[in-house]
Amino acid sequence: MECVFGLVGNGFAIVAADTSAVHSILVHKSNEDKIMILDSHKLIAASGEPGDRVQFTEYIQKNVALYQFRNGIPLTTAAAANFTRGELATALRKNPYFVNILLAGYDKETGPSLYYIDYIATLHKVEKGAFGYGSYFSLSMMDRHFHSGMSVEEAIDLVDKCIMEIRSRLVVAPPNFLIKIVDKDGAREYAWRESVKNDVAA
Amino acid sequence: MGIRAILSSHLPNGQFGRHSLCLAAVGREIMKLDTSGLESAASLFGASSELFDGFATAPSFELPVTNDFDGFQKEAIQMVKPAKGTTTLAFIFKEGVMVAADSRASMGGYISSQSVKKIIEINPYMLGTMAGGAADCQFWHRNLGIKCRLHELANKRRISVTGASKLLANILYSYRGMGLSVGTMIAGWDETGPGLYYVDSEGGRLKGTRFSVGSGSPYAYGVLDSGYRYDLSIEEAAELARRAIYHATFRDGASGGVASVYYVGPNGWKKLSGDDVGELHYKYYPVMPSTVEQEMVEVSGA
Repeated sequence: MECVFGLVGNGFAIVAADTSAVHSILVHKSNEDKIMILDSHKLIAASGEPGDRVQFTEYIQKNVALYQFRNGIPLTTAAAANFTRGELATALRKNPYFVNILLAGYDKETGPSLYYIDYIATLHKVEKGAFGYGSYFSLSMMDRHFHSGMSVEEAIDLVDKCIMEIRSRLVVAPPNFLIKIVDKDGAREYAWRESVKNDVAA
Repeated sequence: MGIRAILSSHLPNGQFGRHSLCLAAVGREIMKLDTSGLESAASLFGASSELFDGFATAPSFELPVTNDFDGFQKEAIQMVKPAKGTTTLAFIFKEGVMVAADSRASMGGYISSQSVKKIIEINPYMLGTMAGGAADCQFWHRNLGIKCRLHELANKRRISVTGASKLLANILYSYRGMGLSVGTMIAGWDETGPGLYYVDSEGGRLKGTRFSVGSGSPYAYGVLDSGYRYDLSIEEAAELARRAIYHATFRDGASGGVASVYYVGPNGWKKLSGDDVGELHYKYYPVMPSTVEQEMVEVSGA
């Protein structure tokens, strides 16, 4: 039900996630932000059980901040990804977290990167990745149209194509999506793609 | 509150739920129902299988791994229904927050009470609603009230609605998987204005402007969503809340009793009304005298 996907372009990484908070057949909210800004140059897009999603990503965020306070320099994206995977792995056999994560980041030395982290602590560095039922549509779309070093316009076009496909083909397609981007200027919100307007933004 | 089936949690993506993780750890043998009594040819097998356990070759079929053979399929149907037998709702509007709830407690098909207080007063400017286990909700809301007061004493200022809901969400998250059943909304007024959060025992916490929780919530959402405007007056908002609760109690068997409506404003909460939903029904749909279509006539003796 929850759709999260992302890709790496020329000097940036982009992630998109749906914004529905669902409880069995009820949609409680359709403007829930599931892409957390981990630090100035990292984004974490998470999907999974609601309690776990918020608690686990906040835990990672605070630990990443702690490292920066203690050591004076921020973690690299690779280090943050490996730390996240390690936490998931440690908890897996006792008290597992049901969260799937796409971690996107930009490092000055190595440029943009995207990490695919599963709920059973799989870690892969990828150029494009997706989670949820939406992945059945967005993965093949990305495989077909992706090429290395896409510009922001081309990447947004591809993201929009995936969102269109999910909206038209998935039976319980989420109405609204949020797109966030990370590049040398930092991690920030890029755009909303709404088909159902939420009145007063919460 | 409805009896909650503990073993019925499932996740949509095919991921296994927390409770089935516990079941897999306990070794369960597959039980078989022996149908040899129904087969006339079964006696022929008996002699050749002397070497093996005679039962193993008897005609049989596997039974599902459960204690309750008759009811296990019902659990799958119950999974889709919101399990908490109640209707509560809350919404933010221009003047503050409106909170409303029914007052029925049900144990399966038995109505155990029609006068349960489902809107809990945490402190003079914050309210919590009750859905799920009554004891769980009452206890943890009381506990939250204590923590909020301690915060006030330690920090010389009132706690925000954000902070209070996060305190509760963290507590409930630490008990996840242990069978707590709480589906609550924390509504209050703090320095930043009106605040409304939905918190549940699965650990979820959502900030929003309109929520409804409980088995009657889909019905209430329909009325609430269609009548909602941000710039309602207090009376209009109260009437909307009351009407939404009434419609939910009309259709949902696990909701009923009295529709209570509370308002949270800059000076704290105030109870606005408590109307019996049966009386509300005749107020909204008064009995019209209708023409009689057919009358019974005396049949002359034959």
